[in-house]
Amino acid sequence: MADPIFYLSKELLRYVRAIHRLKGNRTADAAFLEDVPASEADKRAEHLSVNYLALESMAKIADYYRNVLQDGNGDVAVCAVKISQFNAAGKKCGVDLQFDVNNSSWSFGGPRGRREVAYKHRPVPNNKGFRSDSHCGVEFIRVLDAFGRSKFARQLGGRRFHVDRGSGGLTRDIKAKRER
Amino acid sequence: MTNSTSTNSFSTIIGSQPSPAQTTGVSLPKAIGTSPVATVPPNMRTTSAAPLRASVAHTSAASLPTAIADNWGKIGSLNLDPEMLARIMRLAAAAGATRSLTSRSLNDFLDFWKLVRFSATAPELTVAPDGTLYAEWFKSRRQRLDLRFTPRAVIFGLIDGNTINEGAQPAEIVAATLKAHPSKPLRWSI
Repeated sequence: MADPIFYLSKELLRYVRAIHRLKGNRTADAAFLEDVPASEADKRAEHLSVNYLALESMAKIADYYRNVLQDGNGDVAVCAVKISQFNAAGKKCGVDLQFDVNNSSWSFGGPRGRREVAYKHRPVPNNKGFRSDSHCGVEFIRVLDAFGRSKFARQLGGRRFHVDRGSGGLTRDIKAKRER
Repeated sequence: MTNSTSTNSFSTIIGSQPSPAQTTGVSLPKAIGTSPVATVPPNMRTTSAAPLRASVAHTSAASLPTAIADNWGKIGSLNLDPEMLARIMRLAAAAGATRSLTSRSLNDFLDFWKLVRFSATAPELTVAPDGTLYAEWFKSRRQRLDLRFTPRAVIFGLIDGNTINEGAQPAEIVAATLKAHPSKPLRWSI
């Protein structure tokens, strides 16, 4: 699959864990902080996991998270944020973001002045038997320190999340598996 | 799963009758939140966490969340709002990709809360993936305050209309600044 173009007006979805759901369906700032990388190699490829809404529907993305992270049960909460808003948050934290017209891609100034891709398509072919074609990474969080990451999360947090209730408990994929 | 296990071990400790709602992991702290000393058996009436942890280990294989056990004395002395205590219990017992609440961060939050509790409403609490505690006061998207209790300092962000104050300071300075703030951000809630 060719790398998608990340348009400013398109949205990225971030999965919201139960502990990050606040009163009034607000997403906690902490939902926009990435898990601590396990190894040095993971650290170099660290990114904020999101799903590109231009590649898959919200229901399908929610189904994936329900199956992989919630054993196929319960409501799934996702927060939609436009790429322009991710860019604005990154710029406010000092990230040097530029659009490369030749490649039609966003880049940021990485360590030692090297330009790196700001949004990367990272499809998941198989996670516990489920696939996610829309999985992407917000890569520029790598250049932020702890304070910068809190600042970045603050810019994105506080938004309302969407709740996907699925198809009555078990999701379509798990139902299909059980019927087989 | 971890939630209910921890709650059950807690109920064993304080000797209360398990209720159906305990499986949610939120009902029990109400009992200890109102009067911790009164509900704890005489041999465990102490503010030291060490005897408590030893007893837990003796009582069952399932363990009390470390963050709670380590801060047991402070939690008891602050007489926390039951809802806040229930939330802390949930965060301390949380499992999965996110690390559960760390003892150090909870300790720092409790120290901060001791300084501001009479001039603040209970914040909404969450935990960051590194196990640090987040406290948020929210009135609207344009008026909100968040504090993150990291080992080095309290990282704060105060959005009040068109002004944003962000930084990292020791808890005492943050507490004094927020208490004196004209918008009273520690009282923001919806």
